[in-house]
Amino acid sequence: MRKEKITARRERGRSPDYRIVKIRTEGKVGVAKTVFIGVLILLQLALVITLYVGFIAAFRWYMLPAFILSLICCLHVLSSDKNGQEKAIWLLFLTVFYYFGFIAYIIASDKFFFGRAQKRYEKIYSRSAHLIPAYMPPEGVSPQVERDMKYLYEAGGFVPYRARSEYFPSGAKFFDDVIKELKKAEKFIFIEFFIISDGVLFNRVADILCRKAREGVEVRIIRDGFGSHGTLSGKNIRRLKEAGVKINCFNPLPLHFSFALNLRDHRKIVVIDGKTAYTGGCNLADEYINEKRMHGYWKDAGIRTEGAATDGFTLTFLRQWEFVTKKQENYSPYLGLSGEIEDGDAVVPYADGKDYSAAVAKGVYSNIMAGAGEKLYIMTPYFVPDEDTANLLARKALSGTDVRIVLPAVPDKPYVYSVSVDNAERLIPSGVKVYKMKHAFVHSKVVASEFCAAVGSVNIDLRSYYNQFENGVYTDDKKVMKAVFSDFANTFDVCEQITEQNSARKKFSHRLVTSLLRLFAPLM
Amino acid sequence: MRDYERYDYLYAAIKKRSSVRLKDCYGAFGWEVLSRAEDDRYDDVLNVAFRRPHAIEHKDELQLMQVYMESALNDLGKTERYAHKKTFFAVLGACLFTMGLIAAGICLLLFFNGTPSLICSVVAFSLAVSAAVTLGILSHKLYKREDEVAKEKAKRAIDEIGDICKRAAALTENDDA
Repeated sequence: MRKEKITARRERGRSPDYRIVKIRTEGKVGVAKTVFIGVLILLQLALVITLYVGFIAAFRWYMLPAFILSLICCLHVLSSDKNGQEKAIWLLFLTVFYYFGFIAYIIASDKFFFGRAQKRYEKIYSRSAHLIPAYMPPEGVSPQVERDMKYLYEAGGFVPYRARSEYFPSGAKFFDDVIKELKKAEKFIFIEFFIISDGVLFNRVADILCRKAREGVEVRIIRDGFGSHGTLSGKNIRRLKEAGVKINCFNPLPLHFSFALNLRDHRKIVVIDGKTAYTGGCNLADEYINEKRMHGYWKDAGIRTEGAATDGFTLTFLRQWEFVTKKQENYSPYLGLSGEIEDGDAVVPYADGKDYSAAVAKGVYSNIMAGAGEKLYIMTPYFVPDEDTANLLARKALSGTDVRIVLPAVPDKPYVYSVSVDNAERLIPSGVKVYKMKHAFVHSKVVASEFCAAVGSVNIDLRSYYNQFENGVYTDDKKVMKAVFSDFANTFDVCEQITEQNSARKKFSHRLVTSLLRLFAPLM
Repeated sequence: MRDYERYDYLYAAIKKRSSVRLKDCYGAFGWEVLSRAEDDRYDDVLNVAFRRPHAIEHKDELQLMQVYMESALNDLGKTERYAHKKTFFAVLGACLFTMGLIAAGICLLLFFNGTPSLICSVVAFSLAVSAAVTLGILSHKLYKREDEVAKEKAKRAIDEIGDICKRAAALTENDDA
């Protein structure tokens, strides 16, 4: 036996890995996902090219009507309310691939793949519209904040509340607080996340949820069909269901290709008893609390609100629940369970998505940016703004506002990162200060000026602005503002500033790849 | 059975030669060794499980610093592994060049007759010897220079690791680390 052991040990070789330490949870999920998406895109591209060539060869007469139809689509694009970047990409696509471009344009239109869903959302929203309180201009807020709050009400019916809030500068702190509050739940728990993944954090939360469900607390969970695809095992879903937890999936992955694939529920919401609510950048997965090491240190942020403001989150959750389950919902038992906190500061929970006609999240960020006087600090994992936002940031910096953008130094998606860094570097000559957090992936989504801050799930990219279902909190809470700026100060200390000098001149191949990647900016 | 309510756990595959240093390093971050086992595939690797209280103070700072430390440690590993990379390729190139000259000399001797081929083969052999000597001396110098650079890099990495561990120890009040 001992001899066998010695022989077996002799057969083991030396590790080819130069690393002295390797954390066992280090996964290559990002790489696998990137490769998967890349292969998928290449396959689709190959299919499109094959069809294109085949069509030209087989139906030469088809070229003229196809060209005319694509031209009509080009005119439609020009007269549409799409953003400049999207218009340019569509025009390029329709001109180059005029043979089938008009077909792609029609099936990619909101009316084609979102029309029925839009009608259902409209019904849901009109049924629950009476639950939104009338707009009361908050007292004691600055004119900038008052204007922003008015915008939120007019754009999406989001009203300001007096609430007590707390900002969490990390996923670990955020989830420790969530777990502490979950243990106190007595009536209901609503959870909505883009990613829910098996792991240590899930087990800790699931233990509490199962226990609470057995005690009679109503527990409902919405997870996104793409974000949580393959991350949450059937075993764990069964475990939750057996305990009485209701769990549903938003827009599950279809077997066929559909433009609706791009519609994702990126919201992060936890509502407990209608008294406490959370949102932020964190999903329910181990990497968000640094339990799992994926891209160096994982920097995230979140916020808790207490008081009547919780109703804003509850309403957003229940509307989505009604959409997912297709069952009419009675909202009344879950609203108005907590009164206004008289000494609290103004807070507006807001949401965004295809269910709103205005790009609310973009509006919130743009208003904060436009209203900033002295300083404007931004933390975002991806920086793929539209032209308006980029120009606004440049103008603010040129007019003397201290504009700072914090990006990760470790990318999770190299193709998006390449475009993000390139976009940020283009703003440096205007005076925008760009930072990269060393050895870290910054996943926080925070925009703050000296007047207010927005914390939530909204990235500064076109997906968040125009396609995804997002949510966040807009506030001028002094305690939150102090914590946000303290978080920024601590983050700047561990960042490297990118300057015109140290942003190395990019190779031609890099610039070419980045230019090509820009064509896919609306998907990033 | 892990107690995730009270403790955080960390599982790491570490190089045996650094295991003592790493125990101290991770100790500075509040981690205590829970178990250690030989790796199934590699005999120079140990699988170590660490544990520390979940509610440890300054957790975010410690987690960030730990990533810095691990990065510095792995930079050190890379420096040690590839310390003489340039020398290796230089020696390989020199060997191929010398062997090419010797082969050319032998071919001239074997397949061609006459004085010119004899002279050429002698020149080829002489060139091979002088190339071997010159490239040997250059490679040795390159080796020494690379060695110095690697030592300097390693020293910097070790200093950085020590500095990070000291800062972590100050946060965890674990001064003996």
